[in-house]
Amino acid sequence: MTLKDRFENYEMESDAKVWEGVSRSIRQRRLLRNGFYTLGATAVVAASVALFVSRPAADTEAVVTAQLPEAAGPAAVGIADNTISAAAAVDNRISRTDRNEEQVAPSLPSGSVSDQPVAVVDAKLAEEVAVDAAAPVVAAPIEETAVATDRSERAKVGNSTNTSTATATSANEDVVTPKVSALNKDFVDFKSFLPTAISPDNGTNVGVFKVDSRVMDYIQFDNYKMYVYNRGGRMVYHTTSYTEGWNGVFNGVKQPKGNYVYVIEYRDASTGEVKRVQGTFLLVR
Amino acid sequence: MKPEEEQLVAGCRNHNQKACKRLYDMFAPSMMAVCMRYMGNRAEAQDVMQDGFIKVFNNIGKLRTSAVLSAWIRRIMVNTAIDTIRKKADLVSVEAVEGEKNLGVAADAFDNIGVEAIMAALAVLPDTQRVIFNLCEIEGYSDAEVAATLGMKEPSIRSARCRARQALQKILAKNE
Repeated sequence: MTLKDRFENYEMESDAKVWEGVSRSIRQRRLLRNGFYTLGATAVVAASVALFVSRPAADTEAVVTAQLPEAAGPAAVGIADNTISAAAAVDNRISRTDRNEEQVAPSLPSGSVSDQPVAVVDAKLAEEVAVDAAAPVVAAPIEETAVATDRSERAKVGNSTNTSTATATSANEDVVTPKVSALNKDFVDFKSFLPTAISPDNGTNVGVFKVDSRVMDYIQFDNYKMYVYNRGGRMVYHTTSYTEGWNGVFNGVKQPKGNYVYVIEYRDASTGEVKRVQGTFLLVR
Repeated sequence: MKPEEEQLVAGCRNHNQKACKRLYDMFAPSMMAVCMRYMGNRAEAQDVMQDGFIKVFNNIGKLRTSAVLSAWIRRIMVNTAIDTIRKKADLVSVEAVEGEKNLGVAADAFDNIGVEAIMAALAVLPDTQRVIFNLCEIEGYSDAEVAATLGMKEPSIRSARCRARQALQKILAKNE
């Protein structure tokens, strides 16, 4: 059996708190969407009122006002989806009639509005339309504080389209759900044992650029090499012993203060891998 | 998708908590194993799994009925794991050293070793090697595909994979 097969059915158990976090996110999303639907319903009311005032066209008005009792009814997902698509269509119509008086609403999806019974609603279409419609609906006369969450919602949906394809992407900004557990850093950074600045003249501070000897408690290594370069790229120091360091003097001359570059190479004793650490530090006088 | 899966997916699209919990229970054990393989420790694996499942339920509306549910969920978990590792520290591009021969770690070197032992050994590897080993050897992607996914060059992938196998063998030999 290949490795793949053997790992195929391998299972492990996880803590209950993982599901708790996921379930919380599902609940929050549902509340958000329900919020949109009531928003959409109110928008339809306002839009149809505006329509009634500006262009009392018999057939469109009948269709639009037919939405009102439905919208006021139970907030079932199916009804709300129709409302959303109608709201989007109506909003489009309003902007068009401003420009062109002769417009008859081509965008009003009559099929989904009047004929379709509530239960037979394409949930997927509704979700897509709801996300797209949410922005214009909110931008309509009603000022709602939900605009901010709407944008983050759209951003989330927009970003997450990439997760199911082969390319790795930057992770979503999950503004809604906090992490339940903190990240457990099982590895220690070599850089945290190096000074960020040295001050050779001042007796009380760190005067020598070298790695703190306590690093051996966390990282076992050998074949240590350290190089120090100045900004011009000239090597001003090198050593192969991790107990030694640079005191800021090169060829008997005290070097000027400023940024210097260090490069450290060592071989990790546990994995045998040669590692390279580089960065800068400040020489202060 | 199987018909019972379709029903479950439809329920999840409507944010039905019970349906979502059923889906979660179906896939959580195997996905936890996947996340552990990639992250190496329990805390990070659980974080990745939580983020992954949130993404699953956020995007389940876009899933086509022709897709395989388990493969899709697994893909999301793997991508989330890779993104998390990237955020920690950029994936190290290992340069192929000239004289480094593929010191033949035999193709069947890991056949007689238990799955748990391999998992424990994987946890010790550095992140990049672990990810590449998982993608190449266990998920079965080709070097080119892995290079495209991680944004690294193919020679880097090959040498990292080789080092991963060698390191794993060394670790497993030490623990025998």
